[in-house]
Amino acid sequence: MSQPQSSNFSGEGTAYPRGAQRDAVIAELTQVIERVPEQMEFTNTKRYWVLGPVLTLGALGILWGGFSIGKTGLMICGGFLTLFFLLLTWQHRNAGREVFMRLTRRELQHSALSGPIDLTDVVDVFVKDEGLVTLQKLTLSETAVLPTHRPVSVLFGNQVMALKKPRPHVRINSAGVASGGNKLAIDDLAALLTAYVQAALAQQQLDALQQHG
Amino acid sequence: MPCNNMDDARRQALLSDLQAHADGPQQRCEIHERASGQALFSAFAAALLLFVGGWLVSLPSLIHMRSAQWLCWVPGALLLAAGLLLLACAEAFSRRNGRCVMVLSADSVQFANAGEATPWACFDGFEIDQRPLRMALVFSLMAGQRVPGLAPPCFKSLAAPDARPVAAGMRLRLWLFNPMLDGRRLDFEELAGLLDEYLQAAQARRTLGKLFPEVQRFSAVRHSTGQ
Repeated sequence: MSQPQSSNFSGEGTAYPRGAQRDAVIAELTQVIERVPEQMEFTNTKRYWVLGPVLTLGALGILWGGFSIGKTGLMICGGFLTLFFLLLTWQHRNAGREVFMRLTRRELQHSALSGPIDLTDVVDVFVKDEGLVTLQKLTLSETAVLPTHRPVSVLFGNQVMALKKPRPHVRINSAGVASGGNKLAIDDLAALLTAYVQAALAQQQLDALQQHG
Repeated sequence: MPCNNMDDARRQALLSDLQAHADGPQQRCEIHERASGQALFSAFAAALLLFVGGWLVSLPSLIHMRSAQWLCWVPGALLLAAGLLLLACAEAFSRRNGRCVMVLSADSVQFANAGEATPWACFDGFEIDQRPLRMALVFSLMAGQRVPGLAPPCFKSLAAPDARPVAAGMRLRLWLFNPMLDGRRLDFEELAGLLDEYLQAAQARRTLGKLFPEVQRFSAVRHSTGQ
């Protein structure tokens, strides 16, 4: 398909489309914007809420084995693991219910960031399943204003890091990502983030167009 | 329009290229699912698990065990539960066997749980992923398009090859074991080639309709008169 000739109207001195072409451009931009819902809320999955008790039972088994055999090392190991998995289960008692990330057609909000991220600054989206947690990495443009992050003291919790080096980027970690109670696959999540970034860019162009119209 | 400032030679080349692509496959293809092997295997595994589980549960009374009976009951009950689960899977797979997954025609594709056929113009691409046990098929939809009338799939589409919209309706996901066309199994490259032919032809016709409306009208007449 042919690209619209004036794909970026925000610069000075660009020719703005007129008449029927303007209507066509507005219709296409509106389609891209309305492709995504106005707002989407994301939670983590119940991965550790389910896995935690199972692992605790396993650790209790090790502890019991240590007591019955009479080996101090096994007892210490079992006790430590039991405490660790109990803490993990307790910290994830609200898993799948707390919204940690919100996407709108303009910005991304995260509960551990000092401010929202403007989606028009995002130049690259990368989503990866790292086994224990899911990583969403958003690379921002050099001129973007980075918010600050605060530490989250939850094991495998909903963490975020806003880093300046080597390029400004934001790393969002969570124990899986779900929306509306449905788990999202990695490539679906990447498609969703990309669609929101495109919607934000389209919104920016639409605003510019309507300002000059 | 972008084609106004295109010189004649390029215009001709683009037109003949589009026309070559637009004459895609015209026949109707029904892709069915074969899951008999998976159903048989899970029924066999379920029988094995149920047998071992039942034997473990009855072991304490067989050998007149006095203490620590739970050491037999707990693993026995777990095995019995797993066996029942696999039995349910086997039943679901036997229902899934032979169901029609997609009906491909020149203009549209009909999914198993869709009320009506979806035009190819709704899609801008698809991905096929060959997993160890199954094949995942993801269609991505164009901006501003929705798949009409999809019934919600039940039990993760175990009993029927149902498609479900994911990522806020921007993608359509389904999975299958063995896609069969006219009694022959398609591997994922063949299936990708088949879907690609239909999709490319539809996209070429759409582009043709946008850039060269008069030519497209002519070719529609040619198709309807069967020449």
